[in-house]
Amino acid sequence: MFMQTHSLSSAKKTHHRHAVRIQKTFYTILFLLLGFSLLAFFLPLWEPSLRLWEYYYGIYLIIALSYTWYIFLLLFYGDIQKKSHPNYAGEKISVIVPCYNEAPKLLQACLESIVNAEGEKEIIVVDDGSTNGIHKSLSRIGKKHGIIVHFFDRNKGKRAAIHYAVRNLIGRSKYIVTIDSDTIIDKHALVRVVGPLKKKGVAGASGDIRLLNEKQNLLTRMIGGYYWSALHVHRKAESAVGMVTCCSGALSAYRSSALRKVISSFVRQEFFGKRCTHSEDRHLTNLMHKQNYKVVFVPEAIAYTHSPSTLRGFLTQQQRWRRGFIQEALFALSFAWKNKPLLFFQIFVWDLMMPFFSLGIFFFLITVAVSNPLRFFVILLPWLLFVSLLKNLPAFFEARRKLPGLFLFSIFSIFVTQAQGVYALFTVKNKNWITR
Amino acid sequence: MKFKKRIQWATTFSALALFTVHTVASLYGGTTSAYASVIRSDRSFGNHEGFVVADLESGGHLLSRVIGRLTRERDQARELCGLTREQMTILSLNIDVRLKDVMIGNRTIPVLEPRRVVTKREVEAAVGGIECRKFEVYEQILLLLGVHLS
Repeated sequence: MFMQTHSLSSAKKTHHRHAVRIQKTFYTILFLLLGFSLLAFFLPLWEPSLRLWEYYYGIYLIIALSYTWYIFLLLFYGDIQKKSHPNYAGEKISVIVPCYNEAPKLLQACLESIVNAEGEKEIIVVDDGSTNGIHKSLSRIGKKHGIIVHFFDRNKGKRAAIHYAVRNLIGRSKYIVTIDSDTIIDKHALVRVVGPLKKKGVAGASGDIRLLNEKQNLLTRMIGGYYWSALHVHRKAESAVGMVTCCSGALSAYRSSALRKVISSFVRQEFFGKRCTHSEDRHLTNLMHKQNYKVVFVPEAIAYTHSPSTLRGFLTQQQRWRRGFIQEALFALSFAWKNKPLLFFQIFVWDLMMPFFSLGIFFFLITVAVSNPLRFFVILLPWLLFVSLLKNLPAFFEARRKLPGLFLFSIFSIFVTQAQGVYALFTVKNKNWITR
Repeated sequence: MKFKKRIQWATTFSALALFTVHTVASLYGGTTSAYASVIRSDRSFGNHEGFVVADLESGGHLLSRVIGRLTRERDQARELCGLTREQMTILSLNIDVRLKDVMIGNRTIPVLEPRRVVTKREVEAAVGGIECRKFEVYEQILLLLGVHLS
């Protein structure tokens, strides 16, 4: 028995070492791509390498074009598929709400929306060592609505909160739903988000996240457009083949049996030797993929959340997301090559490679914008907007009012979030939550 | 699938297909004349009599066609003038260029070529003084052929 346990643990260690090696290899490849794209931009200033820019530009266009085709073909495939899964039939749902220093009014609104939502549910709130004096009001709300409330004596992180709830607080539920403490859910959101989990092979589902403060200012309108595109174009396309790469922390559902199996490795996740603190939503999604389950997007399950309304706040959030994205993309690559080749291809070629490979294009656009603003605004900008419209054509048909925000965000993302991606690559080992 | 959705997909794929064709076409070939540095790098090009001698033997009709073709070439070259590679590199920051292989004798020379027709004024604004060798060569050829025809 001891021998068997020992050999199992040794096999696990070997597997872990192998996975880390794969991650390090791909991490190095990203720097090589970055270097190549910089060379492609700067070297043509010398005569012998004129051809390099041409090749680089050609490869970039082909990859970008093929990605657009890929997304639209997936969307089309999703549209012609029959949406069939058994309806929710009163199964028990455990709802976990981790919270840390949340505004009391917002937390109350969040919990009340869950209480009022349809479905047979138990609600668990884990306070992750808040220091804003929310204990009293949280206990009071808990008592009033029959919510299980647990307080950590110190801040341990969102992963620890979810882990504790799954391990110690939830009952024998079939589905587990995680909801952010600043999110208000629609009345039907719970029963709709767990619906696809009844289908064999599906273990994760993510809801449609909308902004509570979308009309607050220009930035929030831009973010609103960005969210729409990210969910209704990209995530919806991924969902057509059960390959959603991130179940939003704001509203996600997991098959209880699948989540319980991985909850220990979830809380112990390390990235290059350091314990992970953020991007728990992406990691949970990846753990479902690792078990060979499908993960889907449910546009009918709607939740409303707050987005940062200042540029600084938004950039800080994006910085964390981008680090998490690189970390989790590398993690996904370490297993997807074996069990999900399409996911591997998508993450490596389009999601991970492109932001770094396109750095030369980014420098080119910056150079033109600075050296020849007239050309930039008259030729390149309309061209970029056209490409943006093409990539987000579903918005033209389904959400035209989102288009202005989406256009503005496209331009903004070329110059700002692209640079953030590169910064995130260099600082990916930084584990700060930043906004906390 | 509903009719509205079908229209949506037809529009989407048509737009995407057109965009793809346009992008690929702009990547692999086009109608713009080759970059004029070819002229600089090809010493034999200045020998315009050698350039047209084979056609001259076929008679007046053919000669008219040659003149017509060369006139069109000259008009195209009117605004595309000779630049040094250094000038072209500077220019490439301001206009879209692509690399094109041009056969000169047995040699293949890679040259930068604008993706669209560039005006002389645009070029001069970006890189200063330029020399319109190709245009001048065509002018000389046409002049000589005109004499033959008359």
